Amino acid sequence: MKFRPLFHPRCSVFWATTYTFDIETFESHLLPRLGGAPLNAVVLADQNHLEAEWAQLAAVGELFQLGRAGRQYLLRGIEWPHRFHPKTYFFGRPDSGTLVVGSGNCGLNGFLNGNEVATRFDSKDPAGMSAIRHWAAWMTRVVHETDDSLCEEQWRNVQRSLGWLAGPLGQSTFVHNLDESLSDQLRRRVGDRLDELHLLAPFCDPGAKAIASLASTFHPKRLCLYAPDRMAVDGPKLVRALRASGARIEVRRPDPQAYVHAKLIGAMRGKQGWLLSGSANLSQSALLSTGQHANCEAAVLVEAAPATIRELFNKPELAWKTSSVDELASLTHDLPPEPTAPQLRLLRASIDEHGVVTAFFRSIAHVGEARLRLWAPETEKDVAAAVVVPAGGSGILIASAETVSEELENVCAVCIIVDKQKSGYVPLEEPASLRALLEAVGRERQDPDGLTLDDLSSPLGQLVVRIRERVDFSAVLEDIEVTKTIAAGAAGMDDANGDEGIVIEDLNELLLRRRRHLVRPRSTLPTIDEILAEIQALRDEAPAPAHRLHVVVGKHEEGGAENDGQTKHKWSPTKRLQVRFSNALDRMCRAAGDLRIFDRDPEQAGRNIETLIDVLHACHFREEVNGFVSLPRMPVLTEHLLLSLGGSEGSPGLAQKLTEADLADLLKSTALESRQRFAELITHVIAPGGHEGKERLYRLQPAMQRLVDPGIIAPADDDVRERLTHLLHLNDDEHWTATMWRKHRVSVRIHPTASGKWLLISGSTSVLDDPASVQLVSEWLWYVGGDNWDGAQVRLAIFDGHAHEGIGATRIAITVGDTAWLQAPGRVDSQSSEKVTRRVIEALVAQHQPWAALFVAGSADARQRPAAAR
Amino acid sequence: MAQVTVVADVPNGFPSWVERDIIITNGHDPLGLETIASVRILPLLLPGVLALSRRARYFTLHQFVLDEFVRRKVGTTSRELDHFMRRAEYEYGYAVKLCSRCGWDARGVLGDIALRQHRWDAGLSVTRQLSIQTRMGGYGLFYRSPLIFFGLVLGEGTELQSGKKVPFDCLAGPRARDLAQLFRDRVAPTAWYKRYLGRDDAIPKKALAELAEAACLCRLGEAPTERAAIFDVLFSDDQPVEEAIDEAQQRRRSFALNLEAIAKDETSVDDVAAWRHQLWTFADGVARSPGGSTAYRGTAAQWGALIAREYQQAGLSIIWNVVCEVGNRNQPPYGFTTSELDALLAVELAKATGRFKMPKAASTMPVKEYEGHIAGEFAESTLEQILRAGVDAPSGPAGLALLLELRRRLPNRDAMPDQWRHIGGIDGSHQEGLIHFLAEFQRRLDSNPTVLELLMWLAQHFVISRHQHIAASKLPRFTFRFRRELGRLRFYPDRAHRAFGAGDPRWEPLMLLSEDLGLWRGTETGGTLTPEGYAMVNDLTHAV
Repeated sequence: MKFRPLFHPRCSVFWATTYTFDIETFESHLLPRLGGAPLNAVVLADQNHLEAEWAQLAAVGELFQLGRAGRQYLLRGIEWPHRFHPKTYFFGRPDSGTLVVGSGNCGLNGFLNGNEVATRFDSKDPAGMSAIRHWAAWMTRVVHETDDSLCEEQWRNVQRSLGWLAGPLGQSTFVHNLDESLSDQLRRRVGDRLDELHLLAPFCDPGAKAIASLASTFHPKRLCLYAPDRMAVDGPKLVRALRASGARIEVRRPDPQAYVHAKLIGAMRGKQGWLLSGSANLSQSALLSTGQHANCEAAVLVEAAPATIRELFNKPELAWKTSSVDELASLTHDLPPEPTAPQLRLLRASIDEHGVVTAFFRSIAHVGEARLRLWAPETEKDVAAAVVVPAGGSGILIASAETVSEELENVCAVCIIVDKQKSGYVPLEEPASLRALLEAVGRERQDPDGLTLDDLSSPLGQLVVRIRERVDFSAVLEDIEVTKTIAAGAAGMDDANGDEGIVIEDLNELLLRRRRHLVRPRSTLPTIDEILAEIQALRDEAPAPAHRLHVVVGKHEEGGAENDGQTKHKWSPTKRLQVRFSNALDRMCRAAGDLRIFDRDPEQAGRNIETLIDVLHACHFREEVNGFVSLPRMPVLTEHLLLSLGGSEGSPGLAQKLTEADLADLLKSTALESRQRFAELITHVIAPGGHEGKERLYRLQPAMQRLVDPGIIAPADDDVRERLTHLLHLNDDEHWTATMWRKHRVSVRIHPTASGKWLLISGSTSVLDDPASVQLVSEWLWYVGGDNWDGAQVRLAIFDGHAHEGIGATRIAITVGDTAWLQAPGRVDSQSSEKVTRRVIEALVAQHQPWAALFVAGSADARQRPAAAR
Repeated sequence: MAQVTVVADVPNGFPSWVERDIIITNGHDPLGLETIASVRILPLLLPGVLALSRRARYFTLHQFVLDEFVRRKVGTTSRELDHFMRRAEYEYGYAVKLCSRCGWDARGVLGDIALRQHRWDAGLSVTRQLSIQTRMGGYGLFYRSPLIFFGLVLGEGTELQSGKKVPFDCLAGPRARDLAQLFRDRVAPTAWYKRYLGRDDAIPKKALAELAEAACLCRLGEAPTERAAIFDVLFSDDQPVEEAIDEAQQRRRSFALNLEAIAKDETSVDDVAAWRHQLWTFADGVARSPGGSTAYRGTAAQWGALIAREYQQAGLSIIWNVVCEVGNRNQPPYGFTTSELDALLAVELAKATGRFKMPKAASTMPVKEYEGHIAGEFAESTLEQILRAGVDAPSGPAGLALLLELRRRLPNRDAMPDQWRHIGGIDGSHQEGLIHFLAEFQRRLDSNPTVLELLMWLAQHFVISRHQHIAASKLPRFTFRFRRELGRLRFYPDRAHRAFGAGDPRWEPLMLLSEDLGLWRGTETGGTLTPEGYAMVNDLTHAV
C-alpha cells in the first residue's frame, strides 16, 4: 500500500495519531495534497517528542517552521504516562472514509520509505466501516483525555460533518490498550498453546521481558524471531529469554542488513492463525500493560491462514536469512535518550481575534512572575503576562492585546518564562483560522465546467493585456510550482539522457511554455481559453497573500478569494471568467504594497498601483467591461488594494513603510489621473450602506487617511473631495464605542435620556480619577462636534455593576465653556474649580490628568446645578 | 503446461507492507542557488536560448526534418514524427562524428551518449538508432521550445484560426519553410537525403560522411544564406510579435557583450573563469566610469550582477562541501544532535590552510580583522583566483573569504544602472539572490561576530537549513544529503555532494552559437572576433 494517494484534495478530514512528527515533510509535501478549505486536519503526537523537536528548531533558529501549525491544521502534543505511540491515520470525506492503522509515524520515514506495515480500512466495506467506528470511539476517548477545548471542538466537527461515522459498532479488528493490554486481548482470542509464534519489531524493552512473557503465555512449539538491523534490546538477556522459552528458536535477519520499523506478532495453531500488527513494539509498556503503566497503542488483530501470515513476515525485498541465537547476544539497547517531561511545560498557546494570547502550562514548581516570549524570524521579544488561574500545578497565562499587539506581525511560536524558568516553544495557534477552515466543511467542492465561449473580442482581453504589459510582481514571485517541476523534471531526465539531461536549465522549457500564452500573433484575437490561461498566469505570478497573524475571520471575510468550487451550481462560462479574473486581480491588489517591489524598482511599484487602479476603475465605470468583476466583489478588491497600500491594524501598508522621499518617488511613478480615479472609485465603491458597508468603511478609514495625506488618493474635484471627506469622517455610536474599547480598553455605553446622552463607563476604576475618562470626553466631543466644542454637553457615569443605567454611580456633567458638576456616592456634590473649556480639557489630556484635578472637596447648592446633573 | 501457484487467501483488514514511495536521486542544486540563475535570471538575459540549445545549425535541421515529415507523408501523428525525428537526429549526429573537422569530440551533438557507444564499431554501415530516449529526442528537449518561442514551429495542439488543432509539430509559416529549404539545399545532393532518410535499414557510413561534408554543424559558414537566416531569427527586429523584438534586442546585446569578453581576453572562449572575470570587470568599469552607451552599461550591469551572484553561490558552495564532508566522516549511529554538530563544526569549519589561514583562533578573531587580513593577502588577486584557491583547498574560511571579498569589491549600487539592481534583486524560492543575501550578510557583520560565529551562521542558515527545505520541497524525489530525523541531523554518506562552485551560465551556448554564426573564430590561443563580431560589439558600445 501507499500513503501518498490517500492525501487527496477530496478529503475534508485528516486526523492522525503518531509518536513522532516530521513537520517538514508533512507541511511541504503531504498537507498541500489535501488542498484548502474545507479541511479539518489534526495531528496528535507524543508531547515529549514534539517538545524535543521544537527545542531543536529553537536551537537552530528555525521556529518559523511552526508558522502553519495551529493555523492551517491543529497540532497537539499528547501527554501520556508513558508514550503516546499509536500510528493511525484517518482520511474522511462527507460520504466515506479510509483509516490506516500501521507502524509508521507521520512523516517521510513512516509513509514513504518502506519497511513499515499498515492496514487499510475503507468505510465502503462493512468490516472497514466497523473498524473505523471503533477507531472513532477510541479517538473520542483520546480527545477527551487531552482536556483541550479546541481539540474537542475539532473532533465534534468531524462527528458532525461525517454523519456516517455514527452507527452500530459491530465486530472489529481494530484494537487498543486503553482498557486491556494487547497481550491479554491476543490471549483471549488465541488461547495459550501455540504451534508457532512469529515476532518482528525494531524495539524491545531492555531485558526482553515482553518476549519472555509472550513465550511463557503462549508456550509456542516454535518461536521465530525476525531481528532487523539495530534491533534495540539487551542481547544476552534476549538470548536467555529465548532459551528459557523451551520453544524451538529460529532467528532471521535481513541480508543485507536493513532497518525495519514494522511491528508484527503472528500466532498459529493448526490451520488457524492470528496476526497483531500496528504500533506496539515488543516491550512491556506496549504489549503487557494498560492504563497508567502503558503506552497508548493502536493495532489490528486479525485472523488469517498461517501461510498468509508467514508470507507477510517474509517480505521478499528483505531477504531474511537464518541466523543463530548466539548472534543475537551482540545486540544492545543503546538508543539515544528519550525526551522527558520538563519542570515547566507549555502545553499550547493561542491568540484570539482581539489579540489576546492565552497560554496553558503545567509546572511542578511554585508559579510567580511570568512573561511571554514571542518568536518571529529575526526577532524575539518578551512581553508582560499575567498568570490568572494558578491551580494544582497547571495554569493559564494571559498577555493582553495592548502588550502583544505591536509584536504580533509574523510571530510563529511562543514560550513562557516563569520565575526565571523557561518552557519549551509551542506554535502560536489561531483558533479563528482553524474555525474558518472548518466552516467550509460539508460544502461540496466542485471545479468549474469546461468553457466553450466564442467571445473572441472580449474587452476583458484588453484589460488582461494591459495588466500583462504593465504589472510585474517578479520581485516577490515565489514560483514554487515551476521550481518544483523543474527540480523533479531535471532528476527525471538523468535517467533518460545521461549527461545530456543533467542541466536543470533545460527545463526552462516550462517557462517558455508558459510564456507561449503571452506571445500571440497580432493577427489573431484571443480565445476565452487563452484569456483564462492569461489570467491563470497572472494569478500565478502574483504572490499569494502572506499569512498574517491577527486575522479576524468574520462575515466581512467574504473578501477572500472566491473559491471556484464553493458553489453547487454549474458554472456558466461568464461566471467562471468573472471569478478567475477577479481572483487574479485580488492577488495582485493584495501584493501591490509589497515593499520588495518598491525596493527594487520604485517606478514599477508605481506602475503596478496605477494599473490596478485603472483596471478596477474600468471594471466599475466602463460599460463594456462592466460585469467582469461582480458587484459584491468590487468593494472587496478595492479594500484589499487600500489595505495593501495604507495598512491595517498590526499590518503596515506600503505608505507606512516608506520615507517621505520614497513616497514622493512613488507619487512621481503613479500618474495623477490614476490617483484621481482611485478617489473616484473609492467614493463609489466603499459606500457605507448597511452594516457590512459601514464595517468595511470603518476598517478602511485609517488606511484611506494615510493615502489621502500624501496624495496617493487625490480627489479631482470638489464633489469627489466632499464625498471622500464624508467617508473619512463618518462615524456612529456603535463604531465610536467599539473604537474606545480598542484604544483605551474602556467599555462605554451611550445611554439616551431626556436630558441628553450619558456615557456609561465600565472598565475604568474611577470616572473621577482615571485620566482615560478625560481622553474619552475629548474624543466624544470630537465625535459629536468635530472641531466645534463650544456649548457641547457631556455627561459621564461610572457603571460598576451595582449602579443601574448611571443611577447610583459617580456622575459628572460637563458643558464646554461652563463649570462641571460632580456627584458621587458618599461625597458632597461639587463644582469644578474652573470653567471646563476646550483648552482645559486638552491640557488635562496632555498632562494625563483626571477629572479630579478640577474638583475640590466642598458642597454646592443643588439649586445651582444644571438640570442635566440631577 | 502452465504452472499453478497457490495464493493464500488474504482476509479483509489484513496488513500489507508499505511500498517505498520515494525516488532516490541526487537531484541538482542542493542549495537552490543555481536555479536562481537558470530559471529566473537567464530567461531575462538570454530569452529563448537554453543551456543545451548550443548549435546553430540545429535551428535549420529541425525545421527541415519537420518539413520532410510532411512532404514525404511519413505519418500523421506526433508519435510517428517522434520516431522520424529521433532517427534523423541520430543519423545526423553520426555524420557529425564522421566529419573530418569535428570528429568524435564535437560539442553540442544531440544523441552523444547513444553515438559514443558505437564509436569503435567496425563495419561499413551504421544500424539506425534513436538519438535520445525521451520523446522527440534532442528537438523535444532543447530546440522545440526555442523554435516555438521564435514563432517558427506550431506545437502539437495549437489551435488554428479555423478552430482546428495541429495534430503534430509543424512549420509555422514562410520563414520556417525558408529555413527548412536552406538546409535542404545543402543536403539535397546527398545519398542520405535521396535514399536513406526515413528508412529503417542500415545506412552506409560513406553516406553519412557525405552528409557531414555537405551540412555538418561546423560547416554553417559555407552556407552564408542559411547562416544569415539563423542570425536573423535570433537577432533581427523582424520578429513575429512585438514583444519578441525586445527579446531579440536583449539577445543581441547579451551576445555582443560576450563577444566583447572574447575581444578583451581571447581565452574566454575556452576558459569559463576568464569569461566570468571579464564580465565582472565590465560591470566594475561601469561603476567606476560614467562613460559608455546606455545599452552597454545596462547589459554589463545585468551580466555583472549575474556573475557576482555566481561568486556568492561559490562561497556558499565551499561551505556546503565542508559541512557535508565533515558530517559524513564523523556521523554517530543515529545522527547528530544539534549540540554535537555545533561542537564538531566549531572545530572543523574553522580549519583553514594556506593563504586562508587565520592569524588567530576563529573563535576569538573578529571578522573585521579577518577581512583586513584577507584583503591584504589577496590584494593582487582577482575574485576568480580567490575562488580557485578556495576550491583547491576547501575550508570554511576559504568560502568566507570569497564572500567577504565579493562584498568588499562589489560595485557601488548607486553608481550602477537599474539593471544591476534588477538582476541582483532576483531571489529564488528558497535562497536569497545577490542583493538580499548581501544585505543579510551585512546585518550579521554589523553585529561584530567572530569568524567562527559568522561561519556557523552561514552553515546553519544558508546550508543546513536551506538544503532540508529544498529537498523536502522536491519529495517524492529523495534528494537529501542530510536530514533531521527524530531531532537529529542524519547525513547520508552514500549520496554525492559535489561542490558546485560558480556556474557557467549559458557560457557554452553563447560561445558555440556565436562561433557557428561566424562572429568569432578559433585561434591557437583562444578566439578572435570576425568583422561581423566586431560590428556587433560596435553596435552595443555605440548604441544610443
